[in-house]
Amino acid sequence: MQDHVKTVLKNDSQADLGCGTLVVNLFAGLAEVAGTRQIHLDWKSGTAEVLRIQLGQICPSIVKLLSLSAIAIEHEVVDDTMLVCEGAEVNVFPPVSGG
Amino acid sequence: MKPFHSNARVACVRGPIDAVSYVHNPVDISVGARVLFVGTTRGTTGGVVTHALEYEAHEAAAVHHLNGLASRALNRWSLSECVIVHRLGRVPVGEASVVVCVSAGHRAEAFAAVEWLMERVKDSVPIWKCEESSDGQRRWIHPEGGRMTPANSQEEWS
Repeated sequence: MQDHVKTVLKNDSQADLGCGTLVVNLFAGLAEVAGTRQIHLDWKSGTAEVLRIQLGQICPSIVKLLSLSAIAIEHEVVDDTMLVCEGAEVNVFPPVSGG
Repeated sequence: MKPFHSNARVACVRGPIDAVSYVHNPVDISVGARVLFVGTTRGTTGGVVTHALEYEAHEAAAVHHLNGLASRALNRWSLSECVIVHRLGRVPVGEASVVVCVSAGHRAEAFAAVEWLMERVKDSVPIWKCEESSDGQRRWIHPEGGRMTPANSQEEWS
């Protein structure tokens, strides 16, 4: 799975496709540290791991909490090898504390 | 994805929870035990005086995951009913933040289900609490053990 995704990434990169926008929603302490509830990224396609790296570069203050957080596409948390497509609803869930 | 269990009743609400109202179920002759758990805002934590808790959620995702948990509990312990209600927003000390109510044939299953459900609510539902101390300081609670994973997020309720 991981090898396949990496191959797709490489091919996408070589194809030089145009970028779209990805809106990433932040919650709770993550939003507080970032100073915003949404980050807009230029994005075409890449894994959740690549997204995690880009978010940290754009907003260095969240790197520590981001490393403990989960990336979700809509409701479902995804593995870092999962491909994130342009236009997806991306949510970054810091460690949860309900109850 | 399987549909949620028809006897799962979950909600996120923004006002006080009338916990006892969830115990008044229709008569079901297979039920021998109903367990009601009410989680409330504690006034002190580790010597720090808490003024209130504020809860935030990705509400649609929280309801989705609560439905999944309730469905799994219904199947695993053969429950007749499973209710989970979580309050969002500011919850003053002493008031209910979460209510879980299950109905089962016997108390052992009912207690076990409630214990399991509360553990999962704390580690696999996108809800977060912020402690507001009596001196006005606010602190989000993000325990390392609270990281959601694909496994605890997507387990089937079979």
